[in-house]
Amino acid sequence: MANEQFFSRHGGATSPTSANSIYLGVVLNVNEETGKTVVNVPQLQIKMSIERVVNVSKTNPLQVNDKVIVGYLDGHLSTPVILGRATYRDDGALDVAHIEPLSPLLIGLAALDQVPILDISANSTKKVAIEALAREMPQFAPQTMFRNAIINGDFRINQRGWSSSTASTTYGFDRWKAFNSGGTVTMSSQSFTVGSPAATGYEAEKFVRLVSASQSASGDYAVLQQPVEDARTFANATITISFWAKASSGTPKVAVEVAQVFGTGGSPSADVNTLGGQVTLSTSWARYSVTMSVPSISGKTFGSSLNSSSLNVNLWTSAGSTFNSRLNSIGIQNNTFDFWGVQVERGSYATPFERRPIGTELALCQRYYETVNTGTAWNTPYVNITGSTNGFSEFITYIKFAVAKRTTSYTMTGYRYDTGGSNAWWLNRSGYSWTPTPVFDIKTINGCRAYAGGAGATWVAVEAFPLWSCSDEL
Amino acid sequence: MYFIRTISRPNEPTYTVIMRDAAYGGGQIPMDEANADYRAYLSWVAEGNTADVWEESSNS
Repeated sequence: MANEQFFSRHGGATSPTSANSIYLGVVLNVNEETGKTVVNVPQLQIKMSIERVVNVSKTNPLQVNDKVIVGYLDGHLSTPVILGRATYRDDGALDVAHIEPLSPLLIGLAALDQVPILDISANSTKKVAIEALAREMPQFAPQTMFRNAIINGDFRINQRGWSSSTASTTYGFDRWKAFNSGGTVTMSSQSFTVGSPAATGYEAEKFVRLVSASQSASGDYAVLQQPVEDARTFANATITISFWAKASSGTPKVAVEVAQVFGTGGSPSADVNTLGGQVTLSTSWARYSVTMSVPSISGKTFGSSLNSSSLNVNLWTSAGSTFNSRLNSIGIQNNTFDFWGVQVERGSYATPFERRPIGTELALCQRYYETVNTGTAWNTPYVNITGSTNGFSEFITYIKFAVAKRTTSYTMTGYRYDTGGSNAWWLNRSGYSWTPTPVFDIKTINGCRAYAGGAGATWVAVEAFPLWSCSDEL
Repeated sequence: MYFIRTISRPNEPTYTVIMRDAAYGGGQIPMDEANADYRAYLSWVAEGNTADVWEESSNS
């Protein structure tokens, strides 16, 4: 095996003079019998396709703007490979003895059981480099995980137990809401047929459906939205919004927009709506992506309320002529739109959809909504609390959230465990039960006090089922 | 759709919250513009609606 080294330089300088510069590269071994080249990074096995072969030498270093080679992981044409970094030594030679692999999480983008052959048999010099090593470093290296700013983009989390709604601005799947004006817009939970996901290799259980009906007026519209907390998110950056989608008929459009909302309280700046573009759906699942620049927030004023600003990601499925200039005229579209796998990330590429561990995804959701509402099940030990009334004939307790909330101004709802009805608790003491409306106060981001009066007696033992939900959505 | 509820408790300041009707999901909404539910309530009021006074027994 003979060693060959291939590098591209990040930063665009014309000569390797600084030992502190960061370079990106990969060490390749060439099997002289087969003419095949294998990637010589321990534990890393990647199948790549070659776009162009370039000679690399000390006197002919690759430049950032060179049109060289892009490697892709396992056919994911939007996923350039970044394998490692190296520096030049003081004598100007590449310090190939100290290749520093990038994050293992990044390498984890590739399945390790892929074919470990990089076929450059047609290349007499057997020297290759990867353009994206330099060009895409800023996109991938700092954010190998948690690339996706969208929470619950695959609609796995449904704490509300929601199935369908028509009311505008109602949240359904965690972090997702639809809003509309005019006609009837129904957002609903739908199930994939097992084995028939939106994309091969991305099995999922649920997707969201938006049905627009009877819209006709110039001011009518329908939008699927997720407000991403903090208007500073991606400000003055290039982002790519991607999702899988299909329609029930025809080739309707979806307008992809972000809205920078500067919060509440005080005198925040007006919203800034930026259209990323339109995509045209078909009746089959396909992945679409829009790359756009998010405006700078220079000169903007944020509202004084805590964590109240947001970057709203809007998927418009219908909009009358009132919105023509804003959305480039998608028009009224009474149709059925299905969405799955929504991702918003920094950079110019739609990388593979990021599926975080479900416990992590749930925790991300619970910053905005959390519930201990087990419905009408009897014998629910988690919430069966035995306590006593206080000197005011109240049953009083403290609710501790699993995840700290966005603000201290959240909406608390109590539920009866016997009927599931809201705005009440079911409480019981000897010979007496009552269903008062609980009060929630002394709110912190970590929890709140809760009490319910009407016991009719002080300092007596009480059995309580204090079910609750906390909504702190944007 | 909404009710005004005054919270009064011994040795503590009295304050007011908005209660959303159970038919609309229920909930105790703080009078704070930072709360999206409260902003929805303000919009509802702006349409000319008036909240009722919450009666403790109304949902028991």
